[in-house]
Amino acid sequence: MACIIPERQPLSPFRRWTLAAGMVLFLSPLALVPQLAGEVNMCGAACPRLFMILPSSGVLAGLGQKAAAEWFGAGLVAAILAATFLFGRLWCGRLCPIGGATECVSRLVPTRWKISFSFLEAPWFRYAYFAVFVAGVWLGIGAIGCKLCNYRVIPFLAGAPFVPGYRTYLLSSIGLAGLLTVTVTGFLALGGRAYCNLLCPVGALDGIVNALSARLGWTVKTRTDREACRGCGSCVRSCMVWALRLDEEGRSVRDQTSCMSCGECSKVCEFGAIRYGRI
Amino acid sequence: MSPAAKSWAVRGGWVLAGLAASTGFAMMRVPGHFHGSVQAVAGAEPVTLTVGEKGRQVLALSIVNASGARDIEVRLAGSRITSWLPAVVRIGPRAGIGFFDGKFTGVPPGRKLPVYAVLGADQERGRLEIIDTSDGSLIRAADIVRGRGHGLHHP
Repeated sequence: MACIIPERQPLSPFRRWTLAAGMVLFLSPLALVPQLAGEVNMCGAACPRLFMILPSSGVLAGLGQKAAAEWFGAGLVAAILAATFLFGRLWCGRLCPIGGATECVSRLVPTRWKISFSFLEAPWFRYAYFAVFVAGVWLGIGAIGCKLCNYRVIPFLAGAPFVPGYRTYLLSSIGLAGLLTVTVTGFLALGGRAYCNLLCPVGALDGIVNALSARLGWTVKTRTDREACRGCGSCVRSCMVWALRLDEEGRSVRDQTSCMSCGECSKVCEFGAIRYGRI
Repeated sequence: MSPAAKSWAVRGGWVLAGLAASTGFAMMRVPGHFHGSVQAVAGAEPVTLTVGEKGRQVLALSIVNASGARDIEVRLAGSRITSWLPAVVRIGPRAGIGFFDGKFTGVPPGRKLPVYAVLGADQERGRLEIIDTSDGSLIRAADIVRGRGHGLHHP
């Protein structure tokens, strides 16, 4: 697949506000939503990831214990998946404070310093990675767990000016490794969403639900009308997660496992071939 | 090779790349960081935590309040104890948990307390003490020794 250089365009006003709201609601100094679970960041009961990891023994009991321990994060993921089923990936594309933060910072970085990951066929890489994330402990390989977790690095970065404990973590070897990962796959990535598209387990699960529910015509998704498409490629260049490509006939094709329903492609389509709605 | 076969070969290559990256991350051990959990059960035997053999070590500990204590102090001689608690702007039903200078206040039973401590490069060993600050009694201690425990991370 050819390397795609996304066209730089301003965020739509609505998305600008929803991403800002996500950061205010979930990140320090306010962190309003995690505090509903008695947490101050996206770790502990608010972690949306650890409950997915299959334990080495007693899978069902272990998963139950994890869901109880990370009850708020598990509930948040359930709500995200339900919303995705009906309305597309609104969490990932419009509200997620973690992906939103990396995307917004990446927009401040000059394009010549950025790294394009669009040579990667994201779905194949993502689900292979996700399989080990989920089953690594069970298979005896080891746990990815919190290592290099962007749901840890970004909230800790946001809280670092206020709380010494965050600085202690970020200046440890594992914190620096996480920071490096988020920098390369987020802040310095073209589109700012390579971590989301390749490594995020919530995104991987969300992508499956989005792709399966997109087959149902009554669900609301970002969709391309092939008949109206003129094959100009502007949508392909606008996509931050390289979910679009032109097929052999020169028409735009959408990979719904990667599409984040951000709506940037519909904004640049001059022919009205892309819209957010039902079939 | 036909275009279809070539396409599947490329996809297989990306699957292998994904498996390699994730396996590498799962098996990765980063020196200088230790993550552990301590059950703060009153009167229990001291637990031994084995950190890396050399250099500065950052200990990330989850201390589970399995005692009845509401106010808990964590001490490690020669080290400053930090935590990500409390929230910068305290809002919500559990806003009562406070933290300052190694002392937690208003801790509910069963709550995990995130604690960070740093063991200096010249520190051979240390003893971390979990204390009920209401009466100054020791809840549980953890002996920190040098070994091959670096880079571990949960779960």
